Amino acid sequence: MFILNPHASVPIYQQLIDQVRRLVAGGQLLPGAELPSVREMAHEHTVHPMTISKAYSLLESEGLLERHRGKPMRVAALRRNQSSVAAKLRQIEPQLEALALAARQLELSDEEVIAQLRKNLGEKS
Amino acid sequence: MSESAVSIQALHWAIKGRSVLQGITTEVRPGDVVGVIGKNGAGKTTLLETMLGFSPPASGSARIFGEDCRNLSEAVKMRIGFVPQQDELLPTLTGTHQISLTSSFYSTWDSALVDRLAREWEVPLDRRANVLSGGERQKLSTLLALGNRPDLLVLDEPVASLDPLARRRFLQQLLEVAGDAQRAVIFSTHIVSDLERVANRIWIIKDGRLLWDGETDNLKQSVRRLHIRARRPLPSELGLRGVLSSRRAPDNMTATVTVRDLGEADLQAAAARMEAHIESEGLGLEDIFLEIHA
Amino acid sequence: MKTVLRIAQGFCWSIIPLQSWIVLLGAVFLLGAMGFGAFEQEPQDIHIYAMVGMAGAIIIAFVPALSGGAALRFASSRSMLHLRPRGRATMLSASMLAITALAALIALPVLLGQFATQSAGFAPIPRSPLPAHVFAVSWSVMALLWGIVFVASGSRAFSFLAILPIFIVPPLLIHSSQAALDLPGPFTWFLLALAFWLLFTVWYMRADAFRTPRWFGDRSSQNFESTPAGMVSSLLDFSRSALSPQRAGSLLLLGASSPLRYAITNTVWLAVIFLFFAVMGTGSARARAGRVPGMEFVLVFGATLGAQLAYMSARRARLLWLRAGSDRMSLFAMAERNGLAATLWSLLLTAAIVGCFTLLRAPDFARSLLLFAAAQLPAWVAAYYCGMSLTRTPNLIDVCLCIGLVLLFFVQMVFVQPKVDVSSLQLSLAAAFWLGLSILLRALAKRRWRALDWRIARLTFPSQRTG
Repeated sequence: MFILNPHASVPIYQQLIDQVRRLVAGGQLLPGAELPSVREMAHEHTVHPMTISKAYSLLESEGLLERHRGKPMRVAALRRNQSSVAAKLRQIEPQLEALALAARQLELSDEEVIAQLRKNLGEKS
Repeated sequence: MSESAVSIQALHWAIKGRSVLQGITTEVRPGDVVGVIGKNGAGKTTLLETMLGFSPPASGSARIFGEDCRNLSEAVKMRIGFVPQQDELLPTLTGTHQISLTSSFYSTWDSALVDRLAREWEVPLDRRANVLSGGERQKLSTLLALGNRPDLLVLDEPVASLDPLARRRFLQQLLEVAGDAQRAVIFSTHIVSDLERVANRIWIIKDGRLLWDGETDNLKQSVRRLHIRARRPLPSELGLRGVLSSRRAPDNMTATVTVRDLGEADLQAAAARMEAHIESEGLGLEDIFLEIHA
Repeated sequence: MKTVLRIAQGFCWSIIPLQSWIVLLGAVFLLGAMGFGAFEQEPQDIHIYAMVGMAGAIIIAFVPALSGGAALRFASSRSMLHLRPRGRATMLSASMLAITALAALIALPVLLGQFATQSAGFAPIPRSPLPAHVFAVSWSVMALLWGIVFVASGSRAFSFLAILPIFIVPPLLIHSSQAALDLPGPFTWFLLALAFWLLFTVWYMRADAFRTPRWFGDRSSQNFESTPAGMVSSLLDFSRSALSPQRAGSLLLLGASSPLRYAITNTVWLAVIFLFFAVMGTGSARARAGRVPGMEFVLVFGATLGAQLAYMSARRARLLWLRAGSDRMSLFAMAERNGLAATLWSLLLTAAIVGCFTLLRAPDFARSLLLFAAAQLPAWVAAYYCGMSLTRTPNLIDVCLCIGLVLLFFVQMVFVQPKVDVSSLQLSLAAAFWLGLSILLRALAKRRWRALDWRIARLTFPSQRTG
């Protein structure tokens, strides 16, 4: 379900947080869905359990996950501000940054990029 | 958990007038997995062995579970597991005999665990140690250190001779130990990618000093590589703090600078001052290590 | 050529740890004898100095003679010579060079003695051997030993069995037919040895591959477990289900699970050496005078076994640091208990063997032998504590200590001899002296152990394979 790269420059817990946010905002993780336990995740990806539990704790304080004693972490019930456009846009912020960087390096003009982007978005819908 | 597992204060170690450890002060708490990295000869092994009391320090102190390393009580020694860099297996004893010899010293020996690991790690227990390969000897040494379920596990380059599969299995077992919040692990290695997975704290030793002592995540967020593209020639002094390394292009219009602990505000100010566009790139641990030693 | 020189130097200097110190010790005797002998005028005195110098040279040649063959095998293994062109020829040339040089070194003092005698105008000393003879015999013995040890160290069983004949068969032959030695003179031996070496060369150059030495191989001949006896001992140890911490501690410190067991197997060596000397020396002048040849040597120099044991156990104690004892002093006490017991058992067993031999051969000797052995007890203890003090990389003080101790042994051998009418006073004085020395050395050892640094004092167990 999650892709964690320990060798990336982004810390593992941050990668996990970003992915959970994206999946929840995008609807792939529905409210009430259970996430793997800390032990399972740590074992599967061979990472320190503390990293996973740090991510879970931060997500819990954000309100995205809820903890039930004796049971795995669950996605919290949907709240209004989670589905706001601004929050969703925050999810694709990294991709937009990367796009902007590439565009600048290739010295493409803003209009050219937006036109291409429209085409890509057009293909989707 | 107020008691720290290891507490080191201003530790100095010297041999023949040459100072090997210079004033190291740090701490390890239960639940930590500390990765120690440094160039060959930086003092990693010296630090670990001095900390455990094999070698009296020139000055300063190291305390394990509150006791001075020169006078560890039997109770504390029972809680320590150590895998040295050069294995100390008696050459003519088989694995089984090594295990039974080592286990006779400990009252909390877990034979089931040792047997299970020996099977999983494919360690031949019926051959004498001097006919085992280097990797098998390392695995056996590690087994012997894990057998008494130590609260402090210290490993000095435990995976240097292991193939990737064996390394992965070892790391998984290490995480089992780490999962228990009462136990601490300190291990030194050259294989930086393993640390990224498993260690939550990193010690970087350079020339006998502790260059970095903090969380892995913080280290990654603190060291960044800046790509500077300016519209006019760059000044000779870039005016950035915490520079680890820098390279300029021949035309003096672009430069790559690795910095540590540079705040966002300072970054913007520098960009404005140089009339340059600055991209900030995060680095993996191996690149950070290389930059620090550039 | 430089490679050959370097390898030959390696044979003479660094086959086993502490070899360099043994060489230095021999050099002290050799150079000292030559230096002092240069001032002597009397042929008798010159002869004595020549003999002492020869003894020094023999000390230097001792280790290469006995282990050069195994070192050659180690260096000729596939992994070592794999990429070297003409590797084997180089190795062989280096061996030949070492043997010849050492034989020449042994003959040198005798040569100089002859020269000094003749230049002083005296006739050559009748009993003094000719330098050429000395060279021939030394060369032959070393060449033969080199080749035999090379062959023998190829297989464990063979090497153990082969060592025995070297010590047992020749003395028996010699004893049974005294004339046998005179028949082939030194030059016949030389020719025989030369022929042997030629055959050996041919075989060596044409053989496919050599296995690494099985017995001497990993330079751990200082480790008890590697000896065949040690391995048998290990089997016995682990046949029970659990080791007590005490036995485990003994196993780690000594290599055997009890001091007695260690002493038994170690003493076998001493016994073999003793029997060799004793049988070789029967019929000699000293035996006719009622003394058992080889007895002093074994009873006095056997103490160095205790020193070696102590040296080893200081290093092996590293294995116990995290496992037992609370501080270095309690580890010292543990090592002392085990080590002293092993040393004293060794002395006891050695004295018993020597005593039995004496009872058979020269019964009126037995009493003085007993007294002599008893007087050696504190000497062995002193040697043990000397070994325990060597906790650092040897510096000048340590070397002086060791050389001093060996010199004291020599002095004792000269002045306190186990004759039939040995004086009790002499023995008591000697014993008291050794006792005092032991107390001092023990204090030194304790002080050194207090600051024992196991990053410096460590044994290495080199692995034989890299996987």
